[in-house]
Amino acid sequence: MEVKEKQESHLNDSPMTLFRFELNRSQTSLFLILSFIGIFMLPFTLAGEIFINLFQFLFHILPAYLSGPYHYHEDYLIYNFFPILIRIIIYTIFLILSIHALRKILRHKNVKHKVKGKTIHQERIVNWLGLKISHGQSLFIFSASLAGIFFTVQHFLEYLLYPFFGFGLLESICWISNGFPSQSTTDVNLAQNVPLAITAIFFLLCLYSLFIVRRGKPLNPSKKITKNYSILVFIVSIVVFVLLSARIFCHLALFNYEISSLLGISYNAPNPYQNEDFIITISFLCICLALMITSFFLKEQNYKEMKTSDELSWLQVKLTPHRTIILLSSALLYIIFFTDYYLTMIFLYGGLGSNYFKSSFIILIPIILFCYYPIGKILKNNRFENIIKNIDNSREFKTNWFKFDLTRTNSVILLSVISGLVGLYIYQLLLMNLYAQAFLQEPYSLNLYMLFSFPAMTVIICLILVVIVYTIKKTLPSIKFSK
Amino acid sequence: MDIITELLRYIIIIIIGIILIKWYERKKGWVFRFRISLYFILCWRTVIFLILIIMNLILDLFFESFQFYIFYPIILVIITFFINIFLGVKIFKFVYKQNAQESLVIILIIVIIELIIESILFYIILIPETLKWFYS
Repeated sequence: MEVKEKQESHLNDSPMTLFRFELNRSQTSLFLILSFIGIFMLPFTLAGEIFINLFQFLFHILPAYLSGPYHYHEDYLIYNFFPILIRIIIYTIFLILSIHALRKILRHKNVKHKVKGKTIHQERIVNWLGLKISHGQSLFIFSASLAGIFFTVQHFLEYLLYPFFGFGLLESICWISNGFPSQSTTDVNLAQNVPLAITAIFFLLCLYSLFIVRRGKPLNPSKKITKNYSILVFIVSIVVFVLLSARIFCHLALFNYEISSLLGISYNAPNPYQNEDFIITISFLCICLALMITSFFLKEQNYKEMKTSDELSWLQVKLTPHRTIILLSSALLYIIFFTDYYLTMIFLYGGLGSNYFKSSFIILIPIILFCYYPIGKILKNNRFENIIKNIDNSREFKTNWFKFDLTRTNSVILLSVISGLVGLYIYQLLLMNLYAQAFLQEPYSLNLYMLFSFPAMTVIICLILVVIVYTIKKTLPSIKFSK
Repeated sequence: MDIITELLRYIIIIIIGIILIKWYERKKGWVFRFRISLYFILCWRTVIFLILIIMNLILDLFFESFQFYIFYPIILVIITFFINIFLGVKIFKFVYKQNAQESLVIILIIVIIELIIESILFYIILIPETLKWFYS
């Protein structure tokens, strides 16, 4: 009997692998949080694409086009339909990935015999664009690259399918203001090709990162690894660097006679305002370059050599293991939600210098900093691993959730994600009712599909809320009976 | 805000709430008189009903004067969800003399049912009105 118990405990302690990456307990928990967030958030996003955007196409755009096709561009239907289709495909892929990760983590018994191909072990160091990063950091880069690939592919195809000037960030890079309101200098070729080139560069960077983080050298304790925040500084700097380089290219292509004649673009004489813009752009480019170089030198010792403090607090609140997981899940949930929302808005409508661009950044940057502070603090110095171990000490608890057996740790994680989501969905429900009231006050024949769209969205939110209540009922005992 | 709809919602929630609370008491094995359960749900729902009416009147005034559109749904979430749950838990603790954690699930169920009923009532009124307006 004892031998059997020992064997079972050994099976449960076997390392977890996801996308061939070997994960320790804290990394498994982080992926579990991300997969729960995906599973609960993506159905609503998909429903929004189907019941609002696709229905708008089917019951508004298509009938309007069919009533007089000669009024519209020949590819009018493609321009309107394909972005919706691309978004539906991308969200479906993310949902499948989330379900795959969830199933793999919750049904993990002994993966050693099941893993096909080579496992990427934890004890390694990766060289990513010159930065020396740990296995955990490479997992972050892998996840970010995966999300980045889908994001850039979506925008690349949208730019390719819709070759008109939009109001997004990438188009606005090619418009050099001449100092007068709503007056800018540009060229059709530049405005059409530069956004495509930028998205292609981002796509290649993400693709390179996706593959390079799978390679690594064995861990050497004497080697120092890059700090977590310096990776974030590096990523932001490199993105801004690419955008500013594109703006400098546009300046040169428009205002330099030799380059403009080489590219076949009509030459424009710059005015003092445009010269000033060029100098400001170069100054910001230098700042980005300096930040990128600085992040190469911000290194720390391998975490295993560092001491971990037992006391953990956030804004004067002492964090118990449960509170820590709730805080981490909520911070991750809101950082993903707001970053996705504002980046999409900036890339689609927030042109450089526009009020929308400025107001988005005024809201987005404090939210990111506010959410990053607890994430950085909890994940620093291997603290999260210790917290997970502390919860796992008491093994008498077990519950099931939709045919999945949950341990105490997984229950606490699920409860934490749900507590962050419940407020968000109540907000969405009230917002949907407000939108319905606004849109249906003065309806017209092509808008009548909303009589079905808004109730359908409300039903989806209500269903998710019912699942949330079921989940809370199942997982609440995990914090009730703990010491 | 339509006062008749709000009153209808108030009555429906009291009826559903009393059924759910009696079911929860039976599930937990608690023996309380019907009067206690009714007292709890009446106290809680009446307080929330009054808060909602007062806040709606205040918000309607501010909404037209200052047009703070972004904050309107956020304030609604704070009142209809967070304050609702907080008061529910506090009144439950006061009436039943039980641990606050014991009440959380049933309070949450009632609050979410309330929000779902609010949405159903909203569309029951809005859809016929829209169709009537459209075909007139």
